[in-house]
Amino acid sequence: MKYSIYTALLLLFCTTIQAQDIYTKSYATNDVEKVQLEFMWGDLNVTFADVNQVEVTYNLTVNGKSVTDAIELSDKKRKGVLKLEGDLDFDEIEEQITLIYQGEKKVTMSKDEFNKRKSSLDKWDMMNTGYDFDGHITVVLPKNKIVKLETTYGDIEVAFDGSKGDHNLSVLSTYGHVDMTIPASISTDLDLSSSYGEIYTDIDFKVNPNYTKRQDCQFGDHIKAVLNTKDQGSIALEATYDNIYLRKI
Amino acid sequence: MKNTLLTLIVSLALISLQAQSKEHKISKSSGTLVLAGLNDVTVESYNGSEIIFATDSYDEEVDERAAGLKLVNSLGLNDNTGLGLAVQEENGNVVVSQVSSTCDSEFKIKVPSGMSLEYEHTNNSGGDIKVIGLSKEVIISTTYGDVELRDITGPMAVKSVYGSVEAEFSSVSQSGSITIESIYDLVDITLPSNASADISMRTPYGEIYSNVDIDVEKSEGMRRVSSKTIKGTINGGGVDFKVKASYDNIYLRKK
Amino acid sequence: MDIEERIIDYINNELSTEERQEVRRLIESDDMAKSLYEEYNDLMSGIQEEPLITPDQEWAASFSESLKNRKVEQRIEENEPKETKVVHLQSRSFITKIAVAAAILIIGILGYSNINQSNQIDEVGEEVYAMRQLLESNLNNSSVSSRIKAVRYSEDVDTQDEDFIRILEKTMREDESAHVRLAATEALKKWADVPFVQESLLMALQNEEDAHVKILLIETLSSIKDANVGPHLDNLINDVESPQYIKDEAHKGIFRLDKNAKIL
Repeated sequence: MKYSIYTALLLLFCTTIQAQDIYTKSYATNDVEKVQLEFMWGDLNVTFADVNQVEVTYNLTVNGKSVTDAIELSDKKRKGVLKLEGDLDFDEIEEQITLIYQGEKKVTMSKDEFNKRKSSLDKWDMMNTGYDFDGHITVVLPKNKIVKLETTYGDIEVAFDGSKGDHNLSVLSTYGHVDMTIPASISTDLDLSSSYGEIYTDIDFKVNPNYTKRQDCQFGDHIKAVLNTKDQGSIALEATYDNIYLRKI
Repeated sequence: MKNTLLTLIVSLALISLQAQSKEHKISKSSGTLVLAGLNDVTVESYNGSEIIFATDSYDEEVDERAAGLKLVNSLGLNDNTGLGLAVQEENGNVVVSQVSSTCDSEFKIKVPSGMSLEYEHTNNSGGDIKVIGLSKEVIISTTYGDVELRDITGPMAVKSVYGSVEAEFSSVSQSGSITIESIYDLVDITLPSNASADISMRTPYGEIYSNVDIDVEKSEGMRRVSSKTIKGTINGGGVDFKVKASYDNIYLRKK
Repeated sequence: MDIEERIIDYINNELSTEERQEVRRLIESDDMAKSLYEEYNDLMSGIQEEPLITPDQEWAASFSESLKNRKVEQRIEENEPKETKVVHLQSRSFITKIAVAAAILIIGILGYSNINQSNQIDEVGEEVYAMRQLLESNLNNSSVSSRIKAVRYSEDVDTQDEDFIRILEKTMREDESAHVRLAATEALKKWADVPFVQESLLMALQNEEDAHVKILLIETLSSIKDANVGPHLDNLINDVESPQYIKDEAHKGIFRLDKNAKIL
């Protein structure tokens, strides 16, 4: 009896399912006020649900092969903050060589194979070494927590359908775009910024023109605005090198 | 090797062919056209009743993700021209701001001859302006941009910190005043032979070169011949015409 | 008394109740009287005109000539035919409008009215008063180049009249065009040794954002002994947000201060 409850509790607080192609992990959040997610690689897709946990699912292929061994996902809980950091261990992944002939014809193979066949291959014009990477991370977040999402090389898509209390969301992608959907009826303060990209929206929010001086092309754009009533919550989106898209549901 | 080079050249040619010119027109022929922070612009006067905005843009992949969405900027302005510009009418004037954040956009604007122009550009990329044929007031202020004025008459007030100012007058209007100033770069002015003006040229750290007949102001019978300041009249005197180039030269030529 | 004189008195409240009523009836019934009333009333209260056609060189010279020679005063005393006195200010020619308007103002001051100011105005004061009115009304022009022109004319006025200088000082602080503020700063150099001007220049140095005006302010202040601009220049140099060209000018300013240059 005791043993099975213990197992059940263990399963409840830390579940890891490792299937062939996907990797899912969940983290309890009833003792947490803020959830902070940082991913180096992979496009992030975020939704919210009435749950007491964060669920992260990796769908990752490198060089055409699904890889879960290379996923490095660490978690830390401290002072009411749950912080998850995702990275990839490239030592676990074999490099890929792509040979380019006459600007067009490409031949791809693993580094191993290349080393074996090197002497018998036709002379190439250009050689690329690296990883052909395709990663998608699906995250389901609990509502009513302070949320901070960050990716370095991936895009972020967020569907936020409003919440009962004040919301506080912060989303940043360094090299990818940020695409967020919210209801046009909610009230929120908005902070949208991009240094080298553009900001697009179909929502009529009220921009505070006193915040930034006249926009100059080199300094990017940083918009502070209010949707409906101010001080009812805050959404901050930043895409340093790419665009921001803010849409109504 | 040869083939690769050829392929490269052909691809470049194809890319340039794809450049498309987009236009936007506004029916307006009086008041002032105010250009706020637009990058490289050419403004040309013509006998029409519409302001015509145009830009050559490479039609790269249209951002499909942005379909149905508007471009926004921090002044709360929307691109209502399809050219990355926000145009609004304010107090009888047309105010144009750049909404898109690309630094390498160039605009060509045709403006009806009854309109005056105001252009201000302060950041450190672009800001070159070329004005052709305007005969109404021209007010320009740039930090880095060069200013080129062709076939103009004044009145005007033109100043730049780092940019040069070149002005070729077709005639010199006697109304208002003419002021041209650059702090760190040269000022080069060409006047028609029948221009009349009360001219004052100052260059504390540069030189003044001129082949225009100036009747230099006399003080107690003595003319000041220092090359740092020249004050006098052209063709008997006329409009107040002040030129200053703090650290570079002034060139005053007759046509 | 002819019509214009009565209208001027009416505007200045110099008439008895009966006379007031009479003139009012006249203004209401007679077109010419009405138009004269409107013109003088506008003149007295300082109008905001439509963009004026700017005058040519001659007006300034001839106007100050007439002031100096008191030709205006003489004309009043002679019996001039009515035509020369009736002023049709409908003329779009700025020359006629303002020159004659100002002349009428002088008439009003000298001969027929007891405006409060006239008690304080002496001969030289009248001239400057007129120049002040002129400058102020020109500065209401919506065209930048016209305002610059007005400011540059004022550079040639030889006066220490504080009210006159204050108009320029206000222009330097408040004109919405940096080009005009720049011209005003240049004009104020002449009076840079006047204490309130110096203070204003220092304040402007801290508040002004336009590059050219700021640079001219640095240049002007650093050429005045005891202007106390040193600490402000240091601030500009140390401020991270100052553009490079401001820092460069501030450095040059400090150098100039050290050389103890005289007023430009």
